[in-house]
Amino acid sequence: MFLRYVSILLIGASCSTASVWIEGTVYLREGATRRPLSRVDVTARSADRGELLASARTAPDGRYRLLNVPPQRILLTASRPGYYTRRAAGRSGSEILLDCSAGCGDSRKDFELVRGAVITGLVIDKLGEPVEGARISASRTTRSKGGGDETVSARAVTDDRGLFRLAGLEAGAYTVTARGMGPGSSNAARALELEVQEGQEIDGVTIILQSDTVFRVSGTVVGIEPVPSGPIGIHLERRGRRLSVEAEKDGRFDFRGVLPDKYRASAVLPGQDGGKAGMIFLGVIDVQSDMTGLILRPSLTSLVQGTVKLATGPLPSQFPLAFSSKVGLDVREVLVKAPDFSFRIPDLLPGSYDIQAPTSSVYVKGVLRGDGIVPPTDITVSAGGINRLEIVVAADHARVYGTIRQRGSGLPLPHARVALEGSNGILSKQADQAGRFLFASVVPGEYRVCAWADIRPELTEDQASWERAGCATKVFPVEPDSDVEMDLAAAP
Amino acid sequence: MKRLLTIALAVAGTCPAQGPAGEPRGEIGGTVKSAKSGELLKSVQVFLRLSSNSAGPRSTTTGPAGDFLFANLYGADYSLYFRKAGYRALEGEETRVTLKTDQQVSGLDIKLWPAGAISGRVLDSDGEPVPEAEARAYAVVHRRGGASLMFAGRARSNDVGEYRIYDLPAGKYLVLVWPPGEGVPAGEHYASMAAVYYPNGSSPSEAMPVTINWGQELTRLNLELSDHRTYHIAGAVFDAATGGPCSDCVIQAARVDRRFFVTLPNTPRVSSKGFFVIRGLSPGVYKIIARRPGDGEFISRRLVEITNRNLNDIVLVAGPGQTVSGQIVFGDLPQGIEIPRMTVSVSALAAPQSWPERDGDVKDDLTFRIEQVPAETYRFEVSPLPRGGYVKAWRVSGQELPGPELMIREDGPLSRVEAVIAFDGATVTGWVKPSRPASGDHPIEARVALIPRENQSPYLVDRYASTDPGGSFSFQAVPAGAYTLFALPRQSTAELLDPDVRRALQAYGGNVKLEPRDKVSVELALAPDPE
Repeated sequence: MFLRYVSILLIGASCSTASVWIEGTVYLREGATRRPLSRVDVTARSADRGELLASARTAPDGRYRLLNVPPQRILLTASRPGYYTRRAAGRSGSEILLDCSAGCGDSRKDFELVRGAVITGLVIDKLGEPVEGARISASRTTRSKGGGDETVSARAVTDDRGLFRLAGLEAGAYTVTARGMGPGSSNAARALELEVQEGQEIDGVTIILQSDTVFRVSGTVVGIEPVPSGPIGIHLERRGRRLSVEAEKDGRFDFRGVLPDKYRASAVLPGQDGGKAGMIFLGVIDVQSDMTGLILRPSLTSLVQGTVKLATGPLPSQFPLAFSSKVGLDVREVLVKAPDFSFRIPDLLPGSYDIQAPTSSVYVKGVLRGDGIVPPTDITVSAGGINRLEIVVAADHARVYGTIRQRGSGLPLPHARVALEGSNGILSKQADQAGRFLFASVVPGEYRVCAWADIRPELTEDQASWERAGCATKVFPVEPDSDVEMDLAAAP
Repeated sequence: MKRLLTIALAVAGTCPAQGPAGEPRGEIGGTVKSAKSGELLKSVQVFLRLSSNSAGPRSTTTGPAGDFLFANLYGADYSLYFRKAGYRALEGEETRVTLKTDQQVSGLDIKLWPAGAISGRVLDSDGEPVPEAEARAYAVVHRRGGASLMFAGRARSNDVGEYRIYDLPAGKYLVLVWPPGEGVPAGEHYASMAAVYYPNGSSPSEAMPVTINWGQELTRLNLELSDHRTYHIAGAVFDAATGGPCSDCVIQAARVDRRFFVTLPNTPRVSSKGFFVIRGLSPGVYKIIARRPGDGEFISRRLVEITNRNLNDIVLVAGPGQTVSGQIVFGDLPQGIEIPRMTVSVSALAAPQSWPERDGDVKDDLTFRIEQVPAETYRFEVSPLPRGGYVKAWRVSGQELPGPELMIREDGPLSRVEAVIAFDGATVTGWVKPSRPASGDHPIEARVALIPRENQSPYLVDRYASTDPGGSFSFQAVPAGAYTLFALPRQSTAELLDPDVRRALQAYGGNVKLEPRDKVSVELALAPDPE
């Protein structure tokens, strides 16, 4: 067996008589099988200083050998463009840390690489013209104990044709975002959610870069009593983002570069000794043009409090509840915890709300009214608030799964798209290489379902796509705690 | 050479509007089209800047009808620039508009040219893709003395070895690829490989130039990296001011091949002791440049040749450069000629495009002094020249130089440099007739070149002029000598200093032999664009 190796020392590195040898094999993992992978660059770096100590490229039999590596703590990595390291054999993570400070006993280290997925596509503006220089990122959200940690897995920049290529992606769900700058305005694209399988190539993704015009919002805030001694901060909030300015002593404020949208305006008062005293809500501003001369006054807010009861299924120890304003403001989230599962929102604006549980472990079945349960939509919050809102949740999700097949031949259709539409909106998934799909946590109710051989994910929300596929009228029930299996014929 | 389109007033639709006092009502608007197809171009970024002001421009974008409009403008001189992916304006061309108060200028007709591109794959000797390799395109430009290279664009190969260099104007290019650098995991594997010049040369003179027309993409220009024997250059760089190692210095290396100068993409590290190593070099001549950034920028350079072994112990001492001093000498200065504020500038003949520029103002006593000129061979120029004047010769210590090129050495300043400006030049005027009988009242948009014929003094330089709408042109203060004139369409990028191009256009050339103070008139036929 021909074994070829290269071990390269940097000029100036010292050679110790107790130097380390490291060898191993790199495999390509494909499903349940694996085979040796050549042309993988294995590098050894100092774990403390980051300097390159040695490198080698695997031979056709997948083997590598690093010679004369100075003894120290060593970080070993294996890389080949278009692939990612699934895990180092016997260890977690993509790198291997060797403590060879006093020499290494077992210096045989293997790696497993997986062919990465590729996403290619096009960025255009609203006139359909290619956008050059747009920055594309594919981010994967991994949940840690404290919340979500977003990881950027790949980046690209569009060329003069507006084309981009993201390669070497691990299997999973990604948010693909495009950002660019146009003259005199702020550009941001709608992020796309894409799910990729191992080694899958998704092409034809089109992102439309919206060139948003920005506006000026200025005016005066009045009616705050007593008049605070320090500066007042004015916030405009929407979709979790916040614009802030400091008002003048006479209450004048001026925002520049405001994107068109509905904003929740609030004033932040200075507290004693420099701390924040509190927040006062000033109302909702719908920005669609330059707005000057606004007069903002404190708005009445309401207290909403209550408890959560479980209808069926196991209740997790804590979960979020979301109150979504019908006028399009930010979603207000509150964390409900054991043992009492109570909640309290002291400053909700009067209006109409939908209540949801943005988690897959429970769903909001409804709100108790008298002896019955009403749907958790259009819940009215009056000026007096709600003192005993009893929300009923359930954990009796169903599973919907099956196989998408080609019309005519009946053969499974890899990477086809399937969507479920119910009262809570549209769920969309991409089938795997065997045409299989799984919706693991489906809220019981009535659904329409549709499958397409090839469709951009965002088009599942377009009713015309459903009609063209002939899926507009088919409805089926999903019972609590049930398994629903189905074979679907994909629309072309 | 910078060309200007200066658009005066009296464009259709000038209607001074009367608005409230102090509120500007001026407007500038027009449409942008493809110069090749005439198609209206959408989403073109249009920038408007006050000609006298370097502050941030106003900007807008053309709409679905390729139109743009800037409103609420004060009367002033404005410059407009246009940017669109895949398109270019002609080299050095900008649109200027002089706007009177409340004037509305509409109907600007702007043309952009579709740019070209070069694409292919970078492979190794096994036919496998090489990611992260750097592909570069150099435009082949012709100057007096022969062809040289000007960096035009670069691209990195992706995970499957594909590269694409775009935004290229029409012209001739050399394409080369450098192996992946040390910053990528595969860098060490390729560190010993040298650059490859398309199709498979190891030096610029072994490369085969490729020609791109406007809007053309050359595909499948594949380049193969291979395991030829390569060498390294190692040495140390010192700081002339302190005498110690110059660890702040930046080392650049360039392959020198006749007049071709190709800079290596990777900058080797300089250690704290001033040591450096440049690897992956094939046999040939290299210029090693050490620069210490800072006030005045210390520079040193060495010319070395790799034959069949590594080069070690190369020493560079980055120093402040030398002083060049001298004076302007007039021959037969006519009465009443105003002497402008002149500047003497030096431009390196074979150096990276980032080589520092140096110049010195000419004082009232006609002396000049240029400080901190790094050792190198330079072309000397004086600008602006008095009306009717031209540089007849350069002298050092009274000795006339064979051409306007001078070597500045590291070992001492250069003084007693004289620029002799004469006023006995000839005048060449003429008219370009269209290649076909004119139908209608179409302006003739031509570029006229006055090219010295071969085997004459290096002081004779090529000149260019644009015709007016009637097709007329003129050249003033032309030194005596033999010249050939050509008229080409304005958008042509044909290199008239390329002997092959001149041979192809021979039938359209107009030959003149000029004596001092001659006045010559020439009629030229508009040659077709050879590209």
